[in-house]
Amino acid sequence: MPVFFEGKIHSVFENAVNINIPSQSDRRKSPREAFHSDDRLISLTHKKFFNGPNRIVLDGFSDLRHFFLGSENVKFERDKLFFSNAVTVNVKYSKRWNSSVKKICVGEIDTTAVSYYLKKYSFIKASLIEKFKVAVKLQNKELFNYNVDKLLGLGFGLTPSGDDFLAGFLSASHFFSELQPFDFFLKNTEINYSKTNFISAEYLRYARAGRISEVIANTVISVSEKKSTVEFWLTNLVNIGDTSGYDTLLGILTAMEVYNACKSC
Amino acid sequence: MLVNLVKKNFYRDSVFLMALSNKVKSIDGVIDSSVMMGTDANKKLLTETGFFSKEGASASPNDLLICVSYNDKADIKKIMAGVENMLDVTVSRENAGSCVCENPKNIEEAIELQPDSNMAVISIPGQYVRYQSEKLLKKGVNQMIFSDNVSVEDEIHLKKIGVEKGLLVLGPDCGTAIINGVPLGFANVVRSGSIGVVAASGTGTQEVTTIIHKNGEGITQAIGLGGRDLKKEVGGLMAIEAIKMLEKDPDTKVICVVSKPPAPEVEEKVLGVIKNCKKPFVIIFLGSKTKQDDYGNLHFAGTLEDAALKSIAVLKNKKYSPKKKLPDNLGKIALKERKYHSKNQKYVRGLFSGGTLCDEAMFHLSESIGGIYSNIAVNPELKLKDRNVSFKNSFIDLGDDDFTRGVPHPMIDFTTRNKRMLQEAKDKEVAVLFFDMVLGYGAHPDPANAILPAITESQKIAKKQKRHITFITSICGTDLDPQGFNKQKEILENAGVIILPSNVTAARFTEKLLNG
Repeated sequence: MPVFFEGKIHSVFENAVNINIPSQSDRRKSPREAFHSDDRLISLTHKKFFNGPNRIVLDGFSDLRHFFLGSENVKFERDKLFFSNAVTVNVKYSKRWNSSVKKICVGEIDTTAVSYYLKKYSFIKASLIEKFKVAVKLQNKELFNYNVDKLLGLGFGLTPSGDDFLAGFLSASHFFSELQPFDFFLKNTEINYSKTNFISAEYLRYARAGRISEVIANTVISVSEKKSTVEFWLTNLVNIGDTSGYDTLLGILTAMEVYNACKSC
Repeated sequence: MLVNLVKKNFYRDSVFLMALSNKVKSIDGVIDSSVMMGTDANKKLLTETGFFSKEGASASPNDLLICVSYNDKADIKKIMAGVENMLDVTVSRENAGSCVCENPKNIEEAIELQPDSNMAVISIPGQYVRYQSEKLLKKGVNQMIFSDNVSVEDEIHLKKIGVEKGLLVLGPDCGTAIINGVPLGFANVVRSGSIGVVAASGTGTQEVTTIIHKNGEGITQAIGLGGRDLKKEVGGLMAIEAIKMLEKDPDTKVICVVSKPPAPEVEEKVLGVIKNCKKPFVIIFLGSKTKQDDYGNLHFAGTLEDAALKSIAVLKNKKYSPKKKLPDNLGKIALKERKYHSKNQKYVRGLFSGGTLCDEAMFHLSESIGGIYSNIAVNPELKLKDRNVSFKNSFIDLGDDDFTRGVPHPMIDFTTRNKRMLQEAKDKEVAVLFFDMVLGYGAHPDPANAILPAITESQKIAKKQKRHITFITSICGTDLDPQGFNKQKEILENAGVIILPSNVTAARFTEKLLNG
């Protein structure tokens, strides 16, 4: 990945470090480009979060807060990330992961398992979700965008619940885009990214662009296709953050319900 | 009562934020709290739930908004202090044994922990040296930059700041210094004394300072400059600064300057500064073919050993005659050793961990045994076509970048040198294996035992072929070094290695052995 960029550490958590690349950053691209030229967020994460867009998955550390501080400078060149505190991460021999979206085409999706995981969770008002579902199904652009706007930046957590919900819904929509309402939604949804914080906005950009994280993709596929791995992926998804995983799953469930509603017509 | 606290660009993961919300509720006087990112949707939600106050209006989506409702008898200052405390709880530092180990994570923390420290060692990827070094210079901290791959532009920039502020910027690529008796990088434990050393050479400094020690004297400071300081681009910025510092230092009576030949204009500039000093200087421009006579306060030396011994002589106000020949007793040993070699054994192979030691030995020997091939040869005709294959008389600097990319330096790890030694031993034309042995901080904890298997194996190879190989070395170290000079010497002597008192004497011994 001999791409060159410079950035700064945006935030450091126990299991993740986010790097912000200013949009004016000098990027010398190579034929085998690892990152999209307009990407602004690159993360180092623990392997327990699985692969994801712009994510460098690391193993064998206990707490990234021991190694990094916010605002440190970062350079990526010659397959290495150089941090200004002297830590170097060599990705030369890392394996590259590509997010892939498989078009789901089943009769009706059994959402029992998903509902079970979400039985105690309801931050986002049911009425808001219902309105959103109807708007997507009816391909009512004004109405679903009105609801998207209401959800943006809403709720607890670093990635607010509303954003996680939308990320889940957008991600699942790519798998269901053989159905017209999802295709229409993806083409017409308007997201005002300035209404939420930087990290959450970047996650939403990925979801909108169909760059789906491994855990979300496998959750959608395993539920839709009734795979034996469904519990594994559901458990891993809901374990993300405090409520982020649940909020994302709620978005996925909502998309599945729209899918089922469309299929039953 | 209600208060909102806005933390600008404050990011914590969701688990932390939820835990924080609950913890805030546990503060005395707090009725309820809500912790959210300051998005418009959340502000609206907080307004609806009665948590939002005018202080929260300034929050942006990237800010953390902490909303606290509290009873009217509670002390709001205490509540806010409690919240701030919770926000500052970040990393729990690991316990090291029974004491808490405070590991600073940046320069600010390090300075806070050790406010009296005025010297820092920088060993980080070269690209970031300027950033960290500037921070240190702003804080008034002298520094030794161990890192390489620092651009010459950055070096000039940092050294100019250093000169302006009267601070030392040693390096980049400065591997050796002794400051106030503390060895930094690869350095030996030498006695305190009255000789100050300014050197643009790592092993050059080690050789000079250890010989000074072995001859009963000591040093005040050994200030390393990095290999580029005396080149045209940098113009001797730090050499001049170091000279001025030592000139002012009342404990320093003699100043010894060690370098490869500088750029002519830099040499002129530096010598100009020296001439205006009151203290005597001993100068060695190693490898310089122009012989300079002593004048005024300037005393010139041709070898590292001479530089050390001449510094002592000048200090003691004694005359010094440079050593030019091998002492007779050593000459006899060399000739005796020569008899063990067959007619086909004509060549010496030098395996060095110290670049300056390799240079010095080559420079000396090439005058008497002819061209020496090397990976660091300046003459392109003598540059080895393949650094991994020796040709005729060859000297290899195994500490050169080409050999150390991705592997430890040969002073630390003997793997490469040992392997090469066996390779050379198999060459039927080889008579002498000449190597350096560097002790001190940074070097291998037991170098003699580390190289011993290669010596023993090489001897077996030679014996099998009915040959004899002479192993020659000098130990660059002192009796105070952690490895123990005498212990190292004994191990090598027992293995049949001939140990000479200095690198140049080892070269002279080799010369005698080969030429007769």
